[in-house]
Amino acid sequence: MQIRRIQFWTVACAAAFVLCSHAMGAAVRPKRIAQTEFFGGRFLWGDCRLTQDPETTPTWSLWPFLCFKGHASSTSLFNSSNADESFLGSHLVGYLGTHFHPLVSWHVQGTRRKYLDLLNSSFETIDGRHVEKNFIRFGNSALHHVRADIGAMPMPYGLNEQVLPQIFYEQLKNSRYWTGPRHVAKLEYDNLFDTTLELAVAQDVLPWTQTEIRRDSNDHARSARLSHDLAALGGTRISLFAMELRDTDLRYGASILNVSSKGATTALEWQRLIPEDEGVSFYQLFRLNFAGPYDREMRAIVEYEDSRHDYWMLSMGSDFFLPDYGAFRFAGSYYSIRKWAYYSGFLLSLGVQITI
Amino acid sequence: MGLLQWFSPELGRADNNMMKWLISIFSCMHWLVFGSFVTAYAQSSPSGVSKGEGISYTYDESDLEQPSEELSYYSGIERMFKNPALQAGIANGAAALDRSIESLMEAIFYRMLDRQLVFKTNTSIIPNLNFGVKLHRDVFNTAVGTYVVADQFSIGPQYLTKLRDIGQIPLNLQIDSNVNVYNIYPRSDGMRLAEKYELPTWRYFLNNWFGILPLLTRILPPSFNPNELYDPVSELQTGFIFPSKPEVVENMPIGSIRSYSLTGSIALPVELATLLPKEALDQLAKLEKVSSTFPITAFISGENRISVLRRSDNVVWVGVNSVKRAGAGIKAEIGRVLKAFANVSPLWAGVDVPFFPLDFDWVKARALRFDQLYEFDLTNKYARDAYTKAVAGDFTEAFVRHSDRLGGVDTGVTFHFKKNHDAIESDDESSLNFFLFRKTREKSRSEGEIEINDPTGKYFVLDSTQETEQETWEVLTGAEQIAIKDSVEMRVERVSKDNDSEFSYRFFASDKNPSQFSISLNIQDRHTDAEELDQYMDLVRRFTKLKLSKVPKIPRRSEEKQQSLRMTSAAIDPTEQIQQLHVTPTFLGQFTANASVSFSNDVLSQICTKPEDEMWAAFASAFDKDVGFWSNAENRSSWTAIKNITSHVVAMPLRPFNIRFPSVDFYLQTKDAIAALHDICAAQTPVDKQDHFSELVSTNYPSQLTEAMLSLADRRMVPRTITFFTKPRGDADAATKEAFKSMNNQVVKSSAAPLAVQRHQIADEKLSAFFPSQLRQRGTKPIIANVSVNAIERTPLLPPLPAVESSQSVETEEVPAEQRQIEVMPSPEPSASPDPLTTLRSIQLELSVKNMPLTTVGKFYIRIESAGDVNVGRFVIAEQVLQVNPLLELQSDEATAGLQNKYQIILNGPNSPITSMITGDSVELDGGLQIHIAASADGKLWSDERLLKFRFENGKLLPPE
Repeated sequence: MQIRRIQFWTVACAAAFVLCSHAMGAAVRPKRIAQTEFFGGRFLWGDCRLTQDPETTPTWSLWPFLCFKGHASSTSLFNSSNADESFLGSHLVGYLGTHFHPLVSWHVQGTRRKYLDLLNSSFETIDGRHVEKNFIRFGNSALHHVRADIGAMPMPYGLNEQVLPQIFYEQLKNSRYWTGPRHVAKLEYDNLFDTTLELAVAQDVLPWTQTEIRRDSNDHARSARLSHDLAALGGTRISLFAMELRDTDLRYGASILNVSSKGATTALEWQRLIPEDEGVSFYQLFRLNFAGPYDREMRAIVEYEDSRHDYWMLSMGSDFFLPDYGAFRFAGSYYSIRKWAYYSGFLLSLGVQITI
Repeated sequence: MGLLQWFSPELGRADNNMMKWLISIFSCMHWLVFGSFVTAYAQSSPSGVSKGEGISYTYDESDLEQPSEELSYYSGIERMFKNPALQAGIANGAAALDRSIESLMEAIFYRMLDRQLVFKTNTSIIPNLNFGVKLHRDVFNTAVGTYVVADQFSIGPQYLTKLRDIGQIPLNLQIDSNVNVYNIYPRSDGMRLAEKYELPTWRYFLNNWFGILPLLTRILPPSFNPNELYDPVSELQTGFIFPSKPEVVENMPIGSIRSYSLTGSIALPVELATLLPKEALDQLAKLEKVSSTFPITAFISGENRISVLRRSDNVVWVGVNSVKRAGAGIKAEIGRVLKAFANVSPLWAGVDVPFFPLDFDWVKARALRFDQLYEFDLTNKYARDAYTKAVAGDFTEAFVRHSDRLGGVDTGVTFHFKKNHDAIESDDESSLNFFLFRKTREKSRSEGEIEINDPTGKYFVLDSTQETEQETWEVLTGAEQIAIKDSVEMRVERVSKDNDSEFSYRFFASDKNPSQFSISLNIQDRHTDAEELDQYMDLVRRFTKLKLSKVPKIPRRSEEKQQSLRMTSAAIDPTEQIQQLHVTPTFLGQFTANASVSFSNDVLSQICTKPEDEMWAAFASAFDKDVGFWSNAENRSSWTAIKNITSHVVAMPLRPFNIRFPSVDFYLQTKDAIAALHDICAAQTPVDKQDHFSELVSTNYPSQLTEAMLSLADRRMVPRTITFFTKPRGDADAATKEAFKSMNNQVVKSSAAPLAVQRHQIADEKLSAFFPSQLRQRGTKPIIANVSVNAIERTPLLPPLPAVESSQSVETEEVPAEQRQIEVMPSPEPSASPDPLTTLRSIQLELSVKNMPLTTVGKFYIRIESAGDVNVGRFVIAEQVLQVNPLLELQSDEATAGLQNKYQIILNGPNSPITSMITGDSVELDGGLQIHIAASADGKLWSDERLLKFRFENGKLLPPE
């Protein structure tokens, strides 16, 4: 009963907020993230944008420098079909890039996740904390055609554009499509105009299970991704990618990412996974999402996701930006589980995100 | 089992009382943040009022956008007439898909709305006989906001049976016969809504599907075109409204076409796929749902068509077209058609998603075409009688009345021309079609004799023509078309031998320049970026050998954006690079180029007498080969047949897939072209010349042929012309946009005088009036020359404005370029008065309209749309036709001279005549707005539709975002 009440007030307040914001018109125009730099531009955070063009500026006047960014979010999620399922999740991400020289940089990212069952009042740690990325890059993305990376990092595969509050991706779905390898060697060629080719091999691949990265795997993998940019609708990237895991598990797909001239992002991703020994011939993910530009007081979010054999879900939401540092996030979804006929319902989330 | 358990089966549920506190605290935090944000929002609202500067906009003719941009549909419509056998299919399928990503939605919605009513009946008396009735409507956009509606009705039997097996090959027989009726007419949104004032209420409601159509217009995406559904009665009437009597013509809208035809065909298709080896057939069978067909067909087909075009109140043109074709064709097709969204609704079959890596079509046929055109003035009784017989197919009386008119009797009948074309035609088409990307190449060739009878006499033209059209279509940017037409025409006289049935041709003794070789190039791209523009300019430059020194040079990418990207991506997390796009070539807008080159007889004689080495050098240069190597005869002789065959063996299998390599084809193409040029000079008779011209134009590389011939010719004697049309769009910087805009209507010409237009070319021009692409409303259209948008303080209701009584009509004229500037003027700040009536503001449009008679109340079509970032819904706030009196007190001297009238329309608030469809009250406007507007004096002839964009926030007018 208490949960029902929470859900009611959640919906009512969210609706009131949206109505109020529309009634009051465009009054607040917060910035996206403050671009701040210290020590003469040697320590950057936020967008981590250099103050001068690295192509025409002497190396010593820009390098070395550090780039730090991160965000913390806390979101509650309510399920209309089952009042037992109401969660509170917190998510903390920190990234540090140490750029010694245009030719060498070191990148580290750590994540901490926690989940709280609202009904049973219990913490459930899905992953606790772990280092997602820890690798060294040779070459610079802005300056060099050929670059190489070595270390722990995601394989160059897919697009994985995520626009909803993190709790949806953490809790609900398609972890089987992504991997988190510990040892990766990646080589990429970029013509610095429109095309990029990435090739990677990995050892100790850590495939996601339903909720967690398996830590006991020593699988190996190979992947490739080819991206080409077109001058269409502001700017559009078309990517083709494929990965082979354990020599038998094949996955491939394609994606289109559009960034409009106003900054709105539309992403379409399709991928197919042909498992080695499971009872299904293939899994398939189709994801279409849209996120409005950052330079307003509010941006709309829409996502449709369809995972073959699993579920489909249509989500809509809004990010109400807080001046300079973060956003209030609201999203609602309708989902339908394919394995269980007639199991469907609404999910509603409310949360805040602080970004630095 | 709950949702989370399914997704997260391992998740436990340990109890922990402390966590209850945390829940409470976190929930409180949520509401606190929520509450404080709302409060902050509320407090910051008043400050927003002072942020914007109040301004009023003045848009003049050049700044007002034309909302509809689809020009490429014309080709789709023309095909209905060029190849009636393909009527609905091509225009409906291919053309509808030729759009950009926002038009992908359109394509989906149009397909949802296609209403193709096909009733097939298997009669028990004759097995395999079907009887079909089809009603179909296509709506095509034009560049000026009007649409062309083509309603089609056809009825007829189809018989298909298997005759026998020849070996393993089944031999079928297919017989088709049809009566086809077309009703093609212009339609605009203004015309549609203005019918409210003209039609009986019941008919207006019926046309609007009892109110469902206006509702759909407001809730469906902008791609939904209400004209697709509007007026179903007219669509149902299509088969019964042919103007067989002059009285019926009076009901036809001026500029519309009604046409009927009888068609028939007999075909013997043989499925060659059965000849494939058993292993191959087994493999194909394993590929579920992949279809593979290789039919070869012999056919005879015929069509007789009579078309009526209402040119003005009393003048109609009646055209007769007859086509008889006999020939054979072959088709190779491997692929699959998937159905997207097939499970969305049981009532909708979904959208076809074709995947055809191989789709090749080839037809060769003898074609006899006959065209004839008469003009009737229906105020004349002789013409009325002759018209009645002519539309029934009997033109005897029309010809007699025409002869009488030449004799001095006013009969009102004019014979324009009669044209016979006897030709061998061949068409081949190959395409790669992967739904999101399609590349098609069509090549059609004909060689024959044209017989022209016109009021000045009879003569013959031997012609040889090849049209090559390459189209690349992709879902994001739509179609890019490059079409090249090579055409040779020779004026000849026919000389009969002893037996009248035998004849030969000879050039007129007095004609010193009987042959003319013309090549035209057309490039159309709705979504051109700076890189593509560079490529197009290079093509046009090489095609005409004109320097184009005055055409502006536009950088491919913005240097400013590239610099900004380097500053951002130097410190980027490399794993996030996939979301960081490169700086793409600057998007410029819509681009069209037409170029033409004409070689006279004298120039052709010059070319073919050039030394062979020089010819090879010219072709090598055109194909980007090594000129020094190929201009040497010894080097050429070292190019052995083996090398040639080897390269062709590699390239040949890819041709059906529309993949070609000019460098591989260079040798044979050049060898054949040079041989043809020599033969043209050596030929003694017109027919021989025609044959060799046909060999010359039958190239796969017509632009390289033109470039090589220009290199060989004395270019001072070759007339060449280029015309550019550009329409800037997108977010390029102002200088780039201005540079691109400066190309619009730019004409570049060579110094040589153009060749004279021939009589048969005039006949072709007249005939083209029956193409829907030429469909135009006749008369002097109003022109919205200037719109001023102002934010005004609300006042008590204004008294109605008095109507004026004098009338004057004038010719259309262009606004001089120097007047085409936007004026931005600060408007007064909102009043500080607490009176709520004056603190609120309304938007007022002040329009200057040319060509509006002063006595008439102006009719204005207005559609107000909310302009947001996400264009998933139309968000129509209001759509109405208003009747507005001209403002006498605001009329300028120009107005009193009948040049320009002024009108005021208030869009929102209590003084506004615009009302909400749902509540019937006046509308309130806020945020980004788009106003579509058109003007008319009579509700039938409408001005081009104009588009205004601006924001209206807190009583302030602001620029669009």
